[in-house]
Amino acid sequence: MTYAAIIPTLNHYERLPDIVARVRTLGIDVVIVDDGGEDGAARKIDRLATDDGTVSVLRHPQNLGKGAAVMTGFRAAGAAGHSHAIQIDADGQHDLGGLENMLALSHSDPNALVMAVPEYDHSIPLARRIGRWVTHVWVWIETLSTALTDTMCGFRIYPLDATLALINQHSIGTAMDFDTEIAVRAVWRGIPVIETPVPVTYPVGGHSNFRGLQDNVLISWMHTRLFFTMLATLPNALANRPKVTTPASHWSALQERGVYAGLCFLAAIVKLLGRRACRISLYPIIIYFWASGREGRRASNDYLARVLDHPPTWRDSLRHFLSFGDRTVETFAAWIALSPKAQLVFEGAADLQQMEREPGGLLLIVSHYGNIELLRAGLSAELRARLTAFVHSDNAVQFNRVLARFQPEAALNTLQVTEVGPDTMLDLQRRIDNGEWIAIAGDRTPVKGQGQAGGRVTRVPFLGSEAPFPIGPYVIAGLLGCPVYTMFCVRDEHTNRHRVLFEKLADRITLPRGRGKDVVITEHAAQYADRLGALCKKQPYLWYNFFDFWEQA
Amino acid sequence: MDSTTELESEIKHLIVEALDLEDITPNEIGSEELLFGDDIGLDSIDALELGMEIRKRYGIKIEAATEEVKEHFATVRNLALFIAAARETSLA
Repeated sequence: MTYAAIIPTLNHYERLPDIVARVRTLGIDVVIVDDGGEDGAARKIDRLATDDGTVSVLRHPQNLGKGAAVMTGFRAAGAAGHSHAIQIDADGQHDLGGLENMLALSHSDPNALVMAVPEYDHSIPLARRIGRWVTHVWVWIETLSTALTDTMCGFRIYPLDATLALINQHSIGTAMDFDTEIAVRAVWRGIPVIETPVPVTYPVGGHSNFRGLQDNVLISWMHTRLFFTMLATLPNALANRPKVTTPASHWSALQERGVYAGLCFLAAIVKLLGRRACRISLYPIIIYFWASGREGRRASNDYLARVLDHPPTWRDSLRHFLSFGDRTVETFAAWIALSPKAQLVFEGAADLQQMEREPGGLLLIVSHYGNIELLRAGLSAELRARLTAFVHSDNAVQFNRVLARFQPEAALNTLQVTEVGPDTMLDLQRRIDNGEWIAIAGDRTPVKGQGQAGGRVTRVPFLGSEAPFPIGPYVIAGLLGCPVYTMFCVRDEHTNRHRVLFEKLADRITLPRGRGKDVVITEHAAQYADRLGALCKKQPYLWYNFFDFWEQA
Repeated sequence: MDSTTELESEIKHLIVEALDLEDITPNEIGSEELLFGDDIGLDSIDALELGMEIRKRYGIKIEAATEEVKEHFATVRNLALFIAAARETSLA
């Protein structure tokens, strides 16, 4: 493990020689990133660079923001082969006496983000103190946890691999919003966080580069963005909530209570604002994702070109994205049971009633089309008790457990499939024998599991050309010998009601041995793809796979 | 001890036949090799088919898919011990 210290600076140079000398006594390389400061300051900063490269200076030709400077430093440290980066402010407000303790903590858990929590003396102005508290509260809401106590202090040790992956994947705020945003996103990503108190003095006489109103607006925008991103990825945010370091016997209870409080808060917001206002307030965020996400936009365009009767324009793909935003609010409303049952209209109701009377189980193939989550609110209690969702991550399992406490009526049984083993089949058979309905997605190819050779797919025609579909649902149905149905929950854009389509795919799938097996599997996958494709053509904006479905590896 | 070895060999034949494995023979499967790890490299679809075959042949049932149950299916040896234990319980 090797450490490099990153010091972003904008016209701060008075304290730099002391800071650099102090860090060098620990034998740690220093990278100073001059964020496009004035020439006079630049000359003084340049003098600190050493020929042996232990102290180097990088320079942005123009001012790009503190966050951008830190990220430039991260990339340079990564390229130089360092495993960790230490972030230190240039104005000398961090007491470097705490650095050795932080290094020891980083050594004890090399994967952790070690964050200094400032213990301010009385030199901090009241306005800034209040501003910090507002930020603390936002962060607690965003991470649904009080484990991050101070995210505005830029004195930290980052594990570089995980951090570089994070900044390459998300566009993180490049200015004063950086420190908080990267901490929140690190938590969402499951990076462990260690906090440690460090004395901090508010610099007297020195100037701060915090730009009052402008930076406050920026920080508010960041929190709005993070808040709605959290809502859209709620199961993930809940599952990765950092563990509060209290004795083991207490923390699980505290955790549960915290999530519960988080859900109450979110429910209150939806109730207070109403679903319509929630949707509208979500739009800026969705537009932001649409504008900044080239991959997603391209995938959306490619898909829409297959289903629309005209070449898609930017309006079409934006509408596709906004439809996803509507689905997010809808889903949340369903979770907290704000969707009255009356809004679900069942098609194939006779079939459904007949199958409900059958004592045996069945396999239900569901899709990322429309909003199958609404079934949580719309199914009869008896049927919901029989339904088990086959899910791909334990995030979903954890989320469901919390949801069950918050809103028992919205909870589903879940069966996690991150690791499919022979026992999974025995478990499935037991469930089918007990009359359970097993729901499994038909339009997501399986992820590579640990030590597993990846999921098998079959390529079948879908909206004009062949696309890979998972074979799992048909193999399972064949082995179980149970009936197979598809179920879609489709929003009617005019009436705002939802239709539930319940349709038989096969009474049972018989898999012959040898080559014939693949043929039978492919036939059924093609039949499912046909059904999904027809719906996509009818209401194009309701299929939510924002990646190149046809060319997945 | 002998009967366990016999059972192990029986399970190896069952794996190759049930999964239509063409590039490996029963004798090439080591009793302690990881079936689903890097050693044999069976995938999740193989796992499902194998699970069903074991259920049919040996009448194995489980109450829930726990970590402990997963261990029983990790290698041919574990599986043989698990099946042998299940048989004794049903005889008793």
